[in-house]
Amino acid sequence: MARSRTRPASSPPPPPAGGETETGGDLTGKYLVLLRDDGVKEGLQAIKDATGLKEVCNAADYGAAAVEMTEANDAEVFMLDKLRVAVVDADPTQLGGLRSAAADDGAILAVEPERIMFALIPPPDVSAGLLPFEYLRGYKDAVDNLYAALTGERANGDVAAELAAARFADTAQFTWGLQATRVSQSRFSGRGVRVAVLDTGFDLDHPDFAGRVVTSQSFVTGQAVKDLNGHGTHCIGTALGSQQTAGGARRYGCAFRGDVFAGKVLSNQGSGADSGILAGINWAVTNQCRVVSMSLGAPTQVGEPFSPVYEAVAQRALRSNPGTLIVAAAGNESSRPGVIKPVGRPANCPSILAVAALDANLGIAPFSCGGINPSGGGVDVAGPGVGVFSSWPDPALVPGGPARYRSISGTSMATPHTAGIAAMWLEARPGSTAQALWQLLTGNARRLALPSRDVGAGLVQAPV
Amino acid sequence: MGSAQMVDVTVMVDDGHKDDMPAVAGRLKAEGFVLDELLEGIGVMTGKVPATAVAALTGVTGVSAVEKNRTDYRTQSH
Repeated sequence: MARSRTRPASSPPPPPAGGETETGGDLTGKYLVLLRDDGVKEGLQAIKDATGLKEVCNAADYGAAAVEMTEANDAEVFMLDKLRVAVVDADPTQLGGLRSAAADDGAILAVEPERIMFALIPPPDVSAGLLPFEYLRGYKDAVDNLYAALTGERANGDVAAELAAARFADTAQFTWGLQATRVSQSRFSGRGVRVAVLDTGFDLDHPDFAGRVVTSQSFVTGQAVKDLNGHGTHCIGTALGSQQTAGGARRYGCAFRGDVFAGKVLSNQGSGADSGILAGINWAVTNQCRVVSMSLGAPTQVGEPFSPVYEAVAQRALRSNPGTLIVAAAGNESSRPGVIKPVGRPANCPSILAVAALDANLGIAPFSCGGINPSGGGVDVAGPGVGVFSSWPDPALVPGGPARYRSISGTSMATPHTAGIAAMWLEARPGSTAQALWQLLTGNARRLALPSRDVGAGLVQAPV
Repeated sequence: MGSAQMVDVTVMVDDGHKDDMPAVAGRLKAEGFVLDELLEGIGVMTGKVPATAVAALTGVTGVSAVEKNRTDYRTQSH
């Protein structure tokens, strides 16, 4: 049933049963549980009820100065009353209990993995047995960010200060997006990973894809896979385009050795329906595609809940064997800075990775939707989405268009960057579940000086 | 017996009945549901139902959600 609260933007679904987070040390494996201002006692009881955990270490018991670090580390629940946050050593089942509790109207407001922002702080001096003030301040920053995620307010400046703005530009070798996401430096190619792009179809004769194995199917009544729109060919190019283009154009594709699954769920006019999109997801899952890229969406209203159908589908896809991650465009309805519209459907589902769009200066694209809905619709990551160069169909298919390539903008363009990079991560960390893949993407994202409401965990990064 | 207008719907089958979708489809049929596609990989059925019977489908054993088919999805580019 629909949840009543916003999921913090960068919060992934529960990790795989018995699995560890695979984020190169970016997540600690513990979880931050944010409690209501007036509900610390009630919240602690709710945590115990939801998890069955009993060992509680309370920072208040140690006075103002310091906490025994070993006790804090060993405690199943480390309670920071003043910050109204508990650090909980929860296994996947217990995490599920916490998330359910957070969905109810109780004392638990949100649950988020303990994440990299703590690594930005000097590690506590364990040998001295003390928990320094700076460490506690790190938790306070985290709480501020949780609040920011819940309320849509600007993220804390301490995190924002990590990185200065960057400027990228297309070169003769690479698009700006491949540089910004480290794809250009990566030794991975998504080899053998099946990636489904559900879109307007594909120009099956594009010379940059000569020799590639392409599996395709149309779910649009009366229309062949052949892309008479251009959007699908552009998105497939970004996710899966070749390392060396046929005519010497710059490289624009991420997972150049991934297996292309081109599902046509949007018509040549660029529109589609639930029936076709769900049939396409079913096709991708049945074919064991590990990643589904959906550069599509329908606008949502403020306060509109996510679709229970897409959420259940996405959860099933994540849990399936070997597991499928669905990535979707956050939507283009905003007109920033004045108007920020909520993440569209189905990207607003908690178990679908919602992707916002950045420009080449790593600023938020003016059209990119934000995580402003109190019903699950956060942004999870951001990707290159302004002035994105990629493949385009033969002019004979789309009259009037330039030959074979075009630069266009949208959260549509950020989405296949993320999908292709997901395939690269699967090659780098074979055996990862879909849930672990989610964490690899969010946990390794480049932090930005922008609100998590707009960019989630930050700019998606390829493994190098 | 006026014939109500038919609407396209998406039906989510719950985890407990995902492996028994034809039986769920049979129960839905009794409520006026006409099956278009059985998407067994994700536990979803698409089809049509009289507009007046949409709500009744949610009460069918094995069904966790019913939504009207939205047709306003678009590419997200400029």
